[in-house]
Amino acid sequence: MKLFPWHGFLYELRRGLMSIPLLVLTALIILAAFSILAEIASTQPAPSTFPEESGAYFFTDGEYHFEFYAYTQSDVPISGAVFTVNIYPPNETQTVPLTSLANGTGSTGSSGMVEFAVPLNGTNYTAIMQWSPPNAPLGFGGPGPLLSVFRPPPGVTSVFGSSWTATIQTTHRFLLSYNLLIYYPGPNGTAPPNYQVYWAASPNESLPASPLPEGSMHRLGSLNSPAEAFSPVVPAYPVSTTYGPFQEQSNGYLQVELFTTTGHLVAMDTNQSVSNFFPPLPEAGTREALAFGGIFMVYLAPLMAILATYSVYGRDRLTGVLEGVLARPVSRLGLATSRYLAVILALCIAVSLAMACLDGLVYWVYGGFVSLYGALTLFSSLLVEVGAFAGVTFLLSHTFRSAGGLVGISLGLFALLTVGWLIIPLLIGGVTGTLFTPGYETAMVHLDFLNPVQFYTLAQYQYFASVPSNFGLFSMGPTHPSAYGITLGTLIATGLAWTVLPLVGFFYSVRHWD
Amino acid sequence: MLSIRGLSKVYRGKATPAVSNVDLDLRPGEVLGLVGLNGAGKTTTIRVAAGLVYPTAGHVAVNGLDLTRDKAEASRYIGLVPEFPNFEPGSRAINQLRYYAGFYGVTGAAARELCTELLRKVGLSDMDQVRLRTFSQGMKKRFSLAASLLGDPEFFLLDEILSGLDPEGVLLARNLMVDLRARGHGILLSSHILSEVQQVADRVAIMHEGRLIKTLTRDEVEMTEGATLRLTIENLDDPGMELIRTYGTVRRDGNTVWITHPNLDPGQINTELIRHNYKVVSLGFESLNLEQAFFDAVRGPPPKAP
Repeated sequence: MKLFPWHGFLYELRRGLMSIPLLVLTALIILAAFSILAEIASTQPAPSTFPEESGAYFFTDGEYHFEFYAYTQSDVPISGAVFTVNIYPPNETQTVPLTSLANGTGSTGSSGMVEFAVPLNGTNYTAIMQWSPPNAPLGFGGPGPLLSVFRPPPGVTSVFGSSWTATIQTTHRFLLSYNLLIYYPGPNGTAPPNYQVYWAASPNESLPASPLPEGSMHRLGSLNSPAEAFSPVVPAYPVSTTYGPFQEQSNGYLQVELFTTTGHLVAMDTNQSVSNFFPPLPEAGTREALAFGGIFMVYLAPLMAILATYSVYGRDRLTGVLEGVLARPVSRLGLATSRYLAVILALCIAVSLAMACLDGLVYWVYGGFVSLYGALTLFSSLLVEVGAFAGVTFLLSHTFRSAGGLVGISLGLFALLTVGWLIIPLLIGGVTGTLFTPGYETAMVHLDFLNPVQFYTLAQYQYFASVPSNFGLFSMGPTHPSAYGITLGTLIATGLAWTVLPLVGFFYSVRHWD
Repeated sequence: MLSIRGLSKVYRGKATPAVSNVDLDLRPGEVLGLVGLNGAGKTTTIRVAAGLVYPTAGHVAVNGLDLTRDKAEASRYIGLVPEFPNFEPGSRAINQLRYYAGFYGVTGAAARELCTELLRKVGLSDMDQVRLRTFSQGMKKRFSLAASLLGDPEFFLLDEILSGLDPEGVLLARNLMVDLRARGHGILLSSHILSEVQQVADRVAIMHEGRLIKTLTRDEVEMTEGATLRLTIENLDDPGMELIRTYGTVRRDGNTVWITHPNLDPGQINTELIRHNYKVVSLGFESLNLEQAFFDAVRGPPPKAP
């Protein structure tokens, strides 16, 4: 005779998984997870539409050719932007009034690009560039600075200003991220001839003294058009692993160099800060997931456990359905064990499904999964919760003889351990005048050990104290959780106690009570 | 053999035992009637014998297997039809039966075939896809009867099986019991309907206030004396009824009266009635013997007239 009724177990597992409370609450958790999107969408600004420009010039056939690229800060080409260049004698120092030697003007096309020529034959001039996007007056940002224009050697294109890289905003999933825009036309304004783009990050604030060789830099790609965006993956600067106020990491600059395909240096730029290109911090998504877990999952999971247990065991026992099964060749303990395991496994599957959806959502939004440690923190806490509440409901099924009594006391217990747990200490603290004193805080943390719903809070304390984090430890300030008795060992012991003790009580009642 | 020895059961929170020191044997190939007033302990005895509740004292064994210690194995020999069977309301009949069949090691196509056959046997073949929440009490009884047949157990515990059944169902249950007995199965039949018990029972156990007070064989039941005397009197009137009431407990239906435990011989009653100018058309004992035996056992027989 088999001791464990596998057939019954599988039947009950299927029944548990298909029970309406489990389906509804799992769906509710998953739907609630989408609130992350709403939160992100409400806090993230839209990519900027502020206009920017970059320009270059070259000399050929007795004319200076000027090229300009008009774009928004999110790298959308601006069509219809009007550029004007006024040429003045060299070494001009005044801006107004001036009499120009020559001038040129042009309007950008749909690519955001424009090129126009100014017939001049000298080798040295001063220029003032003015431009305006559509629907803005010419020189909307005021007269531009005086620019020195030196006739470039034949076939060489010079860019205006000392820098030719810019950060641009893009939407990376639901978050803004930053890319590197490189504006660098090829010889005589042609498309760049497959320039190789390299970058390196310097942790120091000081600029590099000299160009770096290709071998000591990271390749970004090939530049084949005058304006092209790249995504340098700059690893986040190591964050502090010491406990306490976090240390930020934004120093340093991005050094970008262009090389010809034969390895000849074309240009170098150190205009951009590396911090612009840091990926989202790995724990950002984890933090969001843990916050979501604290708001929704830890409160819905006990409800799920209570109602699923009632559906699969409590109601059957109270209505006599279970007796119809017990009349079969099955031991009481075998039947109880199979139902318990079926409910627990169904709850685990539901929790896993909800967590997988949450993880997928975090990946979608943040571009990275919830960290393993973070996922374990949330998952193990939820398991402790559902184990405790399922076990208690199993036990109460043998204590109460009416469905109302069983469900009522289970939900009452849930209310006490969730809402009541928040309100009652406040009332006691308020009455005794100890509210938010160190003693009160310590007592609250210690009391959390007595509540399976609060197990998650304790696990979070431990999590944030154990991982490199920028986020500190909630209200504990600089105090390490171990000062409150929160260690991995005490957490494991508490979790086991909450899952095992109700189970032992349940099995005792099965063995000794009708 | 299903053997109950020294069985006592006190429920939690109750001062008096529901069953006290009951000894009972159910043999293969016999129908053992179990009768008693409400609260006599019949259902508790059956629930303990089915392994649904623990005995407070004593034990139940089936073919040498203790029902508490060897529950899973012992239950293979027992089929139960409770008085008020309940099933998963959302489950379809065939699925619920197949779930039960799995406990007997019957799964897959074999289970489907067996369950379909059992549903046909109890007259529910066209209800196999119907959800059990829609079943009437009588249909639940039939379904429970089908479930009890799973595994072809040696013994059946039938608690008030006939209550809630329509006449067709009663006939079906009665025929099934007769068939099972003929095939060597033992049946413990608890019922309030004494005439039904008397029809099929080989022995009758009478329980009262938690105790087994008497066990009678079929012969002993039929031999029970002091039975009910039935008279039909052509010119029966109220003074005649007054006279007849002096002979015992009387029930009347038109010109027919039944005298339970008459305190005079039938001949003396007949003589007395004729002497008072009543025309007795017929006179004779009716075979309501189990009822008499039952009340005799429960209340004790009335004293004979001197």
